[in-house]
Amino acid sequence: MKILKVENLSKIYGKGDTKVIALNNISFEVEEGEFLAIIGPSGSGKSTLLHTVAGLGKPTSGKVYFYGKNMYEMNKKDLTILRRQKIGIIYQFYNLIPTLNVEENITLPIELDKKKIDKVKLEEIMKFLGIDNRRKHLPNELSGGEQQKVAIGRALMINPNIILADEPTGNLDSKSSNEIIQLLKKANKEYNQTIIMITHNLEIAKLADRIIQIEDGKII
Amino acid sequence: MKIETKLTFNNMKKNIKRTIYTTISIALCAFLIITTLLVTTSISNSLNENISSKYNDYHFVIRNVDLDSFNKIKDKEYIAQIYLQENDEGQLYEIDNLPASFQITNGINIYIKYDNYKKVCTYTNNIFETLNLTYVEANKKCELNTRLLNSCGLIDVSINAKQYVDNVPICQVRLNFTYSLDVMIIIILLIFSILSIIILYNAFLITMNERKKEYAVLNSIGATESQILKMTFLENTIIGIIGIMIGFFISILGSYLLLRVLNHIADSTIYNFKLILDIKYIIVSFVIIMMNIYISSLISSIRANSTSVIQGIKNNKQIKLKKNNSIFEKYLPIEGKLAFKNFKRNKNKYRIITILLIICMTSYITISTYINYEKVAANLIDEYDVDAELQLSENSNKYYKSILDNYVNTSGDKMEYLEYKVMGLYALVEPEDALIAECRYGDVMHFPIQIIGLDDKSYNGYITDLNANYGDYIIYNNLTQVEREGEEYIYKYYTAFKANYNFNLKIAYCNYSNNSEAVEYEIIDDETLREKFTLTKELPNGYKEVNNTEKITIFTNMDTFNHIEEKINIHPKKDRYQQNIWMHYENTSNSGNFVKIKCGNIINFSNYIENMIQKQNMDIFVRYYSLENKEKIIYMNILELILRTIILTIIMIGIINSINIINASLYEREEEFKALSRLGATKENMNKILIYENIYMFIKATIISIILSIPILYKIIQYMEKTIILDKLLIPLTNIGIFILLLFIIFLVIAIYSTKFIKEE
Repeated sequence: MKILKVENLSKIYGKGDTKVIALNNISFEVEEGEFLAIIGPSGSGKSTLLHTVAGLGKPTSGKVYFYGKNMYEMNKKDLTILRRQKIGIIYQFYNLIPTLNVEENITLPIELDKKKIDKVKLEEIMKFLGIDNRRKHLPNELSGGEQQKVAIGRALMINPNIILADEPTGNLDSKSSNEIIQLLKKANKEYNQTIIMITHNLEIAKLADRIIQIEDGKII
Repeated sequence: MKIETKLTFNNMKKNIKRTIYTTISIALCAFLIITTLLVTTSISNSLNENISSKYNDYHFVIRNVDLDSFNKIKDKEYIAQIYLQENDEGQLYEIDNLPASFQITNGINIYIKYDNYKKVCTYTNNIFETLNLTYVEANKKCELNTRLLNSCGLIDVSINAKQYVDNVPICQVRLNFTYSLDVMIIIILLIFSILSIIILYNAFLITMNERKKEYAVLNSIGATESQILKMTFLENTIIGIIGIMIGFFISILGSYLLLRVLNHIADSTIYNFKLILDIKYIIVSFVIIMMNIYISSLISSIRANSTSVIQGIKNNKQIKLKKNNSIFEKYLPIEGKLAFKNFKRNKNKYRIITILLIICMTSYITISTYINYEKVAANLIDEYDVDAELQLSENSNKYYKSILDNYVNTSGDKMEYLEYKVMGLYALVEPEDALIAECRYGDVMHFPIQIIGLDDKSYNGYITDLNANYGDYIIYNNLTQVEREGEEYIYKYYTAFKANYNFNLKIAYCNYSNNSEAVEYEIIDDETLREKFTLTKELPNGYKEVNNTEKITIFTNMDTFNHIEEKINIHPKKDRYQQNIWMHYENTSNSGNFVKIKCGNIINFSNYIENMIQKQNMDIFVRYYSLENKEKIIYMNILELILRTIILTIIMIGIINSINIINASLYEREEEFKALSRLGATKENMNKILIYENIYMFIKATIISIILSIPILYKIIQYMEKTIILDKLLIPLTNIGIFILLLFIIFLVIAIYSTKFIKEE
């Protein structure tokens, strides 16, 4: 089943001399359970694509369908709730809440949703990620790799329909990068988790089921 | 605990400095509003109490009332008591207790006490309407502005029976109570509220900007705008309540101390300001401040939310690039250039401090100038060089000295008093051309003179100064004639008698027949005022007001005065056409003595003498010459103190905000400073950048303040020129310069202190 459909997506910044076409009429689809890697050089528009797909920035033109529903026809609040409940986002720089510990960061979307925390699931995820012994630590007490694991845990906790990962290994050393990629791969295989991952690293991209190459805002 | 609450508390703890700065800002804003309310309402209450106790017997006097008008108003239901007075000098009698000899006729004075002193203006307006009274100057109906005027006091109305407009008598209204402070309080609170909203908006925005990334991340993982708004409101409410509590307690202390100082300044006046903690005003101020917090919180949240999630996460700002540098920048060193660019880029951040500085400087420049003008005006006593004058009867003449001595002994005040007598007469001169023609009334031979009999001390001092002989008659030979041409007054100065002339003066009755051109003279005395004249343009000490008399003045010793007075007394007027005495003084009735008073504390003296007159029913009439001015100086000092307190509070708010803003700015610019460090910039270079930024901000604020002050100063000078005419401007440039310099030093110190927080690589 198609979880995501991107149709003629364009994103233009600025006007006149300073106009930048970040996305140029992009179209593609993603199936449920698919691990898609989007690869491209720096400035190719891959992050813009991911953010648009996540509902974080309205496109200049084009549509993004999530389970057949046009995301940008929803109001801001509904889009936010959609993200909270159905889309997990992992950033290059982790973007954890610095005042919350590991456990609290992971359960944050659940608490925002005012739902009861499934403690069993929490334990499972923490064990899966190998961070159960760091549960009370704050982000500034963790290594980069550990922080990224927490970010993955936050994304997995809500049982999302799709995980969007923006250069998840971009800020990590090779060992940590490998760990993270393996975790994502594992999540995809064990939980049938649909994942779209942005990367500039071909080696990492090859671990995905499919690769889309993007350059100058266009799919090559 | 809910996640929003948890995040809020965590953020407050994490950014404890920011939390403290914002709390202090709120506390100071609360201090400004609560202190204003407490002090002004306390002063207002004290004034009310004082006036109501002073004017307890009656609230409204209407003079020269005809019988018909009296009948119209006497039965009004709101009148508690009426006193009647036959004329201005007569005694007051209760209407129900009139003596048999009392005649209620046209021209009586009516003193009215209302049943509710708080409604003096309303009841008086009703009486005005009943009698259909009109003002003298503006041909419009008499009406008091009940909103502006205080609710109690004395209203004194004189009906001019000879002037009518459309068959309605014209009257003059004199008010003797203060204008209501209520309207002023509301306006001041409104201004301070707006100021608080701006200050708090800025403080909250700094916090929002620091957490922009965090809010963006929360939004991206599913926190709605309302959830984020809840967090910010919760934080601001907690800080707000703490800030208000602190502000409240320092307000109580501040108000108490301020009123104590005000009482010290107004020590010799009748006022004693007590701090009144009325619960309704406290609640009102709490509500005002909480509203300010919510409004500024809402605006800053909306502003912060206007950034897109992506921008927030990336934590970058759109920087508008200006293609051309200004000419100014070309001459600056690199630190100055960077500082100037930063200053232009961060205008919004620096705006609030700039605004606060402008408010402080403009207020100080304009209000200091106004106070300076008022104080100088108060000190310039043009007309009199004594503080007061007593008019005595034959009876009070006997005991006034003991009263004055008692005052000196009990108060410790210093005092000098000069006795004198005065009479106004007509005189003829021989030879006629000794007198300059302008001093005559047309073609008639006679001219008015006043003879002042000085006490020994004054007379002896005067003749010594003039090198005259004992027994000489000193003629003040410098007259001022005032004419009015439209709105302008024209002063003419001339001498009365020609110098080096031997002349004699004859005191005469002037007998006017029906034809006013034909005057007969009856000489009363032609022996006394002969030959021994000294002409001078100098006046004796204490008689400065003679300068404004259009009549010729002759100073004599008391013996000569008494001698002339005797001659007049024994020389009867033949009939009523004989013109003689035209001033203070009747030649047949009781004469009065006058005593000029110079004292150290006229306010103390006025309280003492009024008390004595009232309690002992003395027949002494007092005229005050310097009292109003002295009171004005006290009020100016009070105003100055209040102004300085307000400005100090605003400066403190500015300092806190300044530290807060610079701190936040440094936090945001951490990468910039690290980058500069990597390129070889030393701590000294980076310190200079910050200092330059603060200097630009200060220079901008100073220039704007001066520009804003100019039209206000112009208006002040124009207004004050109606009271005094000076050949120089009274702008206290030294004080203003020192104030601006101090402010500059304070902000420079803040900048230097903030450089400690710059982190190098």
